[in-house]
Amino acid sequence: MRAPVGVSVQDVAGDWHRLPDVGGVQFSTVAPGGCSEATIPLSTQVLLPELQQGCRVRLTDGTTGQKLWTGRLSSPVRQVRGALASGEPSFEGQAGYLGDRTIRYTPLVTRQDAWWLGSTMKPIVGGAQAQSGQLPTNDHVTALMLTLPNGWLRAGDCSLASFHGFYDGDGFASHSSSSIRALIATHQEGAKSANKSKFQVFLWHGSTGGTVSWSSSAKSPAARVTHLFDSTVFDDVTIGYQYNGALVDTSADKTVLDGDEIWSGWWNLQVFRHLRDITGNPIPGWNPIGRGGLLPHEIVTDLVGSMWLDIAINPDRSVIDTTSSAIITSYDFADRASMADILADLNSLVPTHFWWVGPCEDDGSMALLWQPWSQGRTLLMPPGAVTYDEAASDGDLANQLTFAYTDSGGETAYETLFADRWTYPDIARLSWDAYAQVEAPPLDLTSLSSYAAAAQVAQAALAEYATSPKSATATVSVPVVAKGSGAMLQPWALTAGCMAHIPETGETLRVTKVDVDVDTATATLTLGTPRRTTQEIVSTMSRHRKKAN
Amino acid sequence: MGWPLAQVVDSLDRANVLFDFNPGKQSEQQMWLGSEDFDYGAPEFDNSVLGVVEGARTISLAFRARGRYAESGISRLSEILTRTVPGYLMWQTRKDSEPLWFRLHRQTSANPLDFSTVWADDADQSTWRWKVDLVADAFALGARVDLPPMVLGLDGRPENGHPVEITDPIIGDAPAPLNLDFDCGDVHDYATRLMSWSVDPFATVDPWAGLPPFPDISLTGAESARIGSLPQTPPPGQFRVVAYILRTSSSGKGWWTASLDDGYGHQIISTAPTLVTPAATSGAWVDLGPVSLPAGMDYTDLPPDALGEMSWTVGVTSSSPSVAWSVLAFCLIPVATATSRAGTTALVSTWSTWWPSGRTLMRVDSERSRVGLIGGDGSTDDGKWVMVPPPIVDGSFPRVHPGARNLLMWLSHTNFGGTRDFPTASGTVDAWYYPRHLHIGAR
Repeated sequence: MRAPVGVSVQDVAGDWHRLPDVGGVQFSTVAPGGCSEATIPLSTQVLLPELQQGCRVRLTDGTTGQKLWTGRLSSPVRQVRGALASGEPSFEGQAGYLGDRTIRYTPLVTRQDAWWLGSTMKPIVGGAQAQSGQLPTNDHVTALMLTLPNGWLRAGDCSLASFHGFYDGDGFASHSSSSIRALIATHQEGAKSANKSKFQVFLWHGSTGGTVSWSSSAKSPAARVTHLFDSTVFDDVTIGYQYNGALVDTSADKTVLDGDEIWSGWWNLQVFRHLRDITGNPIPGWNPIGRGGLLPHEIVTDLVGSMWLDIAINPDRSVIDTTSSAIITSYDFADRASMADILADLNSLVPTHFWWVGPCEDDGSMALLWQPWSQGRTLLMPPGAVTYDEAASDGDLANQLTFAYTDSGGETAYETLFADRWTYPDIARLSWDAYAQVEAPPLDLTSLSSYAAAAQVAQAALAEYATSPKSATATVSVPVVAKGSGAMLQPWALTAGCMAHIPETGETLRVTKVDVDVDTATATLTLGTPRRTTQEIVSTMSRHRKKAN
Repeated sequence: MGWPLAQVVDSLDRANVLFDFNPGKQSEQQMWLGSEDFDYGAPEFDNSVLGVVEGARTISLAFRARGRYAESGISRLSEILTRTVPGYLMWQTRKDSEPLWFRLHRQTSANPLDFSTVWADDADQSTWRWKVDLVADAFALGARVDLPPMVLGLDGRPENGHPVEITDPIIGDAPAPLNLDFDCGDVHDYATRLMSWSVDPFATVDPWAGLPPFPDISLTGAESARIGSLPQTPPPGQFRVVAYILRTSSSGKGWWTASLDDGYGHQIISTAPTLVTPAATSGAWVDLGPVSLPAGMDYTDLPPDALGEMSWTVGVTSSSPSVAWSVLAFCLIPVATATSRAGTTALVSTWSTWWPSGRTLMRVDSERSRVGLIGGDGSTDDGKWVMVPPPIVDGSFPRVHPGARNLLMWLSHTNFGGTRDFPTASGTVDAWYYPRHLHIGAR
């Protein structure tokens, strides 16, 4: 029984052609992702329009006219007298379009080496030193350190370090403005002797030297300080100390620098770019300071707003769910990354959701969806259709994981993360003893840029160790009932990104891949997600979190 | 010309003869069909959801040629059969029988001729016997059958003739692609949805596929409205719900669902939410998704607002921002029902935004899987193809089934492309098909 699936191709002139029905068509959808690969034998028997690599292709349901799969010809073709000369062409689904364009996506920079010491804006004068060094009070912390020697008071303004611009403006004429929205840092000051010091901290914001006075109270012990910038123009900021603004608070102690050497240290710096809405404009009033990080939907929206013009995403049709409250404390792809890379990384952090690129519209634009799995439609699997994969044994479970990272002092440090049995119910099976500790193999994440980056990767790895994954395969060749609506869905119209209810076990698993074979009108559903190896997690997530060289 | 007639021709209409197997008695007969070893083959069956038999059949022909003619004739035949589109084998058994055409497939081997059967029977006047296997479509095509012209409204409403039934009996042994010329007059559309389906001869085809006129429904924000019951109970099976939706706000989008309610606030059946994002303040037929109707339900002739009665509801589950909409029509389109002879075909043609002015004729050439435009540019139907880019064609081409009731429905303007009101015009439709024959018996 052949499924009624029609093939249309767009020729080099832009005209669409419906091909005669050909046998052997197969296509797949994956979640996260969307339309992935397809096999369409362009027989040497068929007179074809003029094709070339990149020509668009779509598969549609002959009974409804619905688009089932869209993509493009991804291999070169050679035609003789209108027919394919030889070889099987290959096809890439709509999701592949997200890999076309790469940018340096740096909405939240936490790398200390992104700061330039001793900016020229306010040159270091009078023997002051700006350097990356150990904090006098804690040799585990390397901070941006400004050291002011005795007698510096009369020398003038002085900058400690500057942050210059976000990378992702390059190549984007439409959205080139990317301004700094907020700065969060940990700050501590002190003096060698017991003298109290009180600095006048200044932020010089923007090339014109617009200045922002920051809090100037003494920061000892260390404290988090924040600043929200109002300008939507400037993408550089300099931290420094201002002579005229009273480097030393004269009301407190006029002679503090006389015979003393004082220091000021800055670390855990978070620079937030002003995020964009879905059409690329800075979100009015956006303020990340209370959260100290980014929300997943903010990143997805900002990505669409940054790239929709370049890769034909339709903001009108894109739907981005805002329910995840996961806080992402560092998001910094200093190496070029594609939208597909970035979304795959985000999905590693937020496994409750998935991204999806729908079949493209007639004008070539596509919708980007960011959806929680739980909102998807549930398919009732026919009895006997589902075969479980061999289950991972509980012996692989673990509830704690130690990882090594490079602390802000450049030293290797260690931290252990624990998984609790409320978040990860599977680990209740580890032992009758609720406090039993089963360690996963330790992770070496010292090559990553910051503690925040390493902790994100380690947390994702621990989540993998703390869950017992289930995966299964279902083969469906009859219409499937959608729970709720009762609609019968034909096998060839099934897509990944929904849930499947298995009658034999009562379980509901995610449908992560659907392969449709048109000749037999059969869909093969991959249910659940096999456990990722630690190497897979680390290689996916640490690719763009590495230290800059 | 000799009988039976066996010629390779390049097309069905106004054909050129490319090769004649049986040119007939001439002053010196050079080639003729042998009566032995003739086999018109049996088709390979490959069932499809649409009830179409795919596959191929192999026709064996034996013919004889005089030695001098053999070389040029054989090489010409070889050249024709290795073309990408070799054409048709036209077969006519007797002068008073109907001709048939087998659509030939390209021969993949370099020389399709079987040389093992070559022989010479006479040293002076050698006669060579050749046997050739021709691979062709499973079914032979009969001569073109023109159906009486039909008038079809563009709106899908029952009172405008939807669905329209093809009343002439369909000739042939298998479903045949139905070719159509729509005379759209001056009404131009960016997208059309053409459905064809076939039901058992005694099945009802009352107009359950549409709704009587109902007052325009206006919705704002997340609202829904009862639109009443259907004029007849549809047969059990799978349907798609389509509605003509008009956005009256200047911008915004909404998630739409349609549901069958029991009158007490319970949705018995509902479609999954569908995102509707018009580009402008304009209306279009929107596919709201599949529903499956069980057997044993009757929800006809109910007052549309009576509580406790089943009725259809259409509405917006969420919209952003608060958008104002109107619903102008509502249809259930069959996909596969209990009385279906085969799956419904749906053909969605989406044109570029430019359309010639004046009267146009839209041709759905199902035989060749093409949709095109004739006329336009202020001219009347002069038969000239104007330079309009072909539309994007999704779905399957319409078919007619012998021995079944064949129905057609045309929904005009099925995507949000312009600023058009609800289409109310109607157009005449000329339809024709080439019957599909299994046997070559005397016709």
